[in-house]
Amino acid sequence: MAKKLSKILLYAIVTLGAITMLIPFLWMLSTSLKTAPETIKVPPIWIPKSLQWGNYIKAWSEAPFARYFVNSVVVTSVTTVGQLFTSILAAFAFARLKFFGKNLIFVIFLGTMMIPGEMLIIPNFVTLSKLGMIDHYAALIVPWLASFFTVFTLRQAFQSTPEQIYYAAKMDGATDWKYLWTVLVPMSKSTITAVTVLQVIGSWNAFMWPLIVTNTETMRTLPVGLQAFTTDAGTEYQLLMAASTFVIIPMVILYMFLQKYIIAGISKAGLKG
Amino acid sequence: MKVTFKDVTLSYDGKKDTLKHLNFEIPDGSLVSLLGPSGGGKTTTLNLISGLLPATKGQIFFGDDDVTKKDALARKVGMVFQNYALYPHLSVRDNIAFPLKMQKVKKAERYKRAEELAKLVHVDDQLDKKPGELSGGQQQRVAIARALAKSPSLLLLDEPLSNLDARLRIEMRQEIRRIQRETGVTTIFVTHDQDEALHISDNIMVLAHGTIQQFSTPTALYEEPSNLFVAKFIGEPVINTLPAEALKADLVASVPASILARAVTAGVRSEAIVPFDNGQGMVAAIHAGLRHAQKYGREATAELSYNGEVLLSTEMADLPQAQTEGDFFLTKAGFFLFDEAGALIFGGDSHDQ
Amino acid sequence: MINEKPTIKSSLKALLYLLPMLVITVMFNIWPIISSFLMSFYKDYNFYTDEVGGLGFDNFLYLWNDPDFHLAVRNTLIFVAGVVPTTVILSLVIALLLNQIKVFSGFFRTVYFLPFVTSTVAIAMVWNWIYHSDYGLMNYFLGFFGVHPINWLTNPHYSLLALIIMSIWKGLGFNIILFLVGLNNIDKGYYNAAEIDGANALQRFWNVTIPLLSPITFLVSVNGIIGSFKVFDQIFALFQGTPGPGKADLTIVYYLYQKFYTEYKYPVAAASGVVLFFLILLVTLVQMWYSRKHVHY
Repeated sequence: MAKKLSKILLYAIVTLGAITMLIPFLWMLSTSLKTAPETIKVPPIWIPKSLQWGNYIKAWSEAPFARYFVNSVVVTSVTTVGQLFTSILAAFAFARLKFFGKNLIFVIFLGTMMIPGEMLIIPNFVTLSKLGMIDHYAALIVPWLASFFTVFTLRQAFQSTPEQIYYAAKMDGATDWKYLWTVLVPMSKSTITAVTVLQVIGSWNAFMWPLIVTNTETMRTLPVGLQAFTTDAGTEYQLLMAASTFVIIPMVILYMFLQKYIIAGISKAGLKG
Repeated sequence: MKVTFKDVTLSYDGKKDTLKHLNFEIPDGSLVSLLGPSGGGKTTTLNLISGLLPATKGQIFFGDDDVTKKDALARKVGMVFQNYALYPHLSVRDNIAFPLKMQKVKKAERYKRAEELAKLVHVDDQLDKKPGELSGGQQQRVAIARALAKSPSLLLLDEPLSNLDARLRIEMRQEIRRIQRETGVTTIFVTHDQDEALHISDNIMVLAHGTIQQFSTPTALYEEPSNLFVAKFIGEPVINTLPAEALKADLVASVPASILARAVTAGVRSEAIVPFDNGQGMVAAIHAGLRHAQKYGREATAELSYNGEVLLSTEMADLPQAQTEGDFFLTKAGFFLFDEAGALIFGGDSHDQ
Repeated sequence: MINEKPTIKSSLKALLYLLPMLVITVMFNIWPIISSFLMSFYKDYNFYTDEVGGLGFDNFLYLWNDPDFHLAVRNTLIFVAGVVPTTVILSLVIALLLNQIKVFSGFFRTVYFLPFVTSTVAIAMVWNWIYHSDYGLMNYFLGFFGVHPINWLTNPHYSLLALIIMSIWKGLGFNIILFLVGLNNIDKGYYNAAEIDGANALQRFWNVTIPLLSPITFLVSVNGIIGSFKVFDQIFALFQGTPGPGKADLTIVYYLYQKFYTEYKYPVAAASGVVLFFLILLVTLVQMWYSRKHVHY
């Protein structure tokens, strides 16, 4: 009896917590489907009389969200693919190749992971303005084409594959390059997926850097565009919430499908410290 | 392919020699096992043959080719690793065909070859499975097929049976022998299990302390161990050893005095201690205490106490249980004397020199 | 291959593999680190001509005397103190509860983790709306408990709290996952042993779970502190491009952003970045020292 009671209590608390976590999302969806007068009803209503899907169309067309969306997709995909490429190559070198200064280079990079990224913003801005890249895709992408964090995570995964398979592949006639792409990468699929998904999320949601390096409206990414939109939409919360929804939705969908990998990635990345 | 080592030395750190001045010749088409205790240098020797590990000094020949400076790929050896090292993301078919794919052999052709090899090693019903879905023995077969796919100059196997259970081990060792006979490829395998080595090899190389202790046929290894180490290492139960001093009085008649003077240790195989003179040549008759000990299946062991030494015999099954002492004989076969350095000076064939 | 020593040839080959990563990191990570430190000592820096008037501690003096920077440091510390302990305790409790349930546990994990994947800016918009003084959900909810409507976003006394609440909500999921992994890694044998030794459930919790979870707890705390030191996106989005009412939400990174982006005082901004670096370094050093001494592995 006491056991059953504690079980009920357990579920009650967990459910209550889950509801708290969900309320902002539900409130966002609810508001996004209301008419303007409905948004300022007191007490607030959760389910609008008729669902105002038009809010989405209106929000989408009131600011160049299509353009923001394209920008975000381009920046996120190029950054992710590029970073994955440079990281896979470097991680392979650290995991399997022999070279002078390997440990020294590795330790230096490990040290740079301690530096707060915010510190790098000013010099990077200066560099990119000198290269004339500010307000171009290049500024949004190039600085993020390498990440030592990703290199580090992949190196761990590569090192955990049996060395004999490397020898076997070499004896079977595979070059290092072939071994990397036909054996090592497929074998480390789950870690690669995990870092990829984390990178996509990070890239998609990035705010401070895109805010700083974009000036013109057409170069904004979704979060920056959404931020700018608040000034235009003012107090039309139903439109703001609709806009927030379509910024959030792609990552939520991604999350639903790749949850396993995201969580694995966090465990791997987070637990390393 | 014949393999020749000329004065090969290997040092991992440039200071201590792991293998010292190895000289041997492995005949073409034979099945050779490298046998020895762990840390004795067997796997190192295999890696030197494979080209995975470059020799510090000396020369290695495949046939008449000096391959010392060539890497594993150029030596065209097929290797089966201890953990099989199969590609976990590829099917059995693709695993076997991988070396051919790297040689840019056309898909249809390499799959055809993969299927032939799968048939040879009896995994042709598993072609579409991933290695993870196979049993240890099947993975072993796939690994052998993959190693054979490139028609290797040599087939090398590193502890191929160590990850299998006892029953499978016996099955697989017969399989390795069969596959070797069918393909005729010179095969070298590493093992720490003498039973394995004795059963399937044409020749056995016993390696310990970084040197070759003996390289000969399994029979010679047993019947004529070149030193005390080999005598002790080969044979089950372990050979009886006792100070030669304890036996000297009983040996005067059969062993030349010059040899006897140098003898430090005597080795007596348990089957060389018999209750009757069977007329096949005896080196000594001894009087000893007897204690029947154990019977396992058709084998019985008895302990003899002789001059303060304990000797184990497997030939006392027919004696009455009650008997507690008697006169016993040591047969010439299975009796050895070793000098101070451990080298064989009497026994096997060398006694009539 | 085995026992191979690096040679010039193998090093050149490795260099080719490392090159893309090296070029980018040297240009956008390594050089900026050096450059930041240098810039923080610049006097009279002209960005357009790249002229430097000399080197000195002027920028640090400026920070030392700038009440805004004091405020930024103070707010950052309050923010850290408000967010980290609560997040650690709440996420530990939720992880422990989630670890007990079987039915729907996957669903609950998904829900708790959801905020992590969502855009900070987008979700800050939602919270901005939740905090609305007249029509917001927060005041409506607090009304049930007889609390008078609060001007969450316009009253300097409450705006930092508003930021803290939202940040806790957003950060919970990530830490819950880490705790769940930690709980999962605890060998069940310890519990069995403790049970045989006569420990009851509560004793097992205090004597097995808590000590064995201490590395994770520690990690979560340090990550939390470092992450909270860098808070920026939430503020910018929640207060629509301002550091809160009466600068009540001005933090170090926000200060850096202002000096850099709106006031063009690059060297001062760089100096504030250096201060941030040393604060984080301090935390890291404490972490190293502490984990060597106290964390039970």
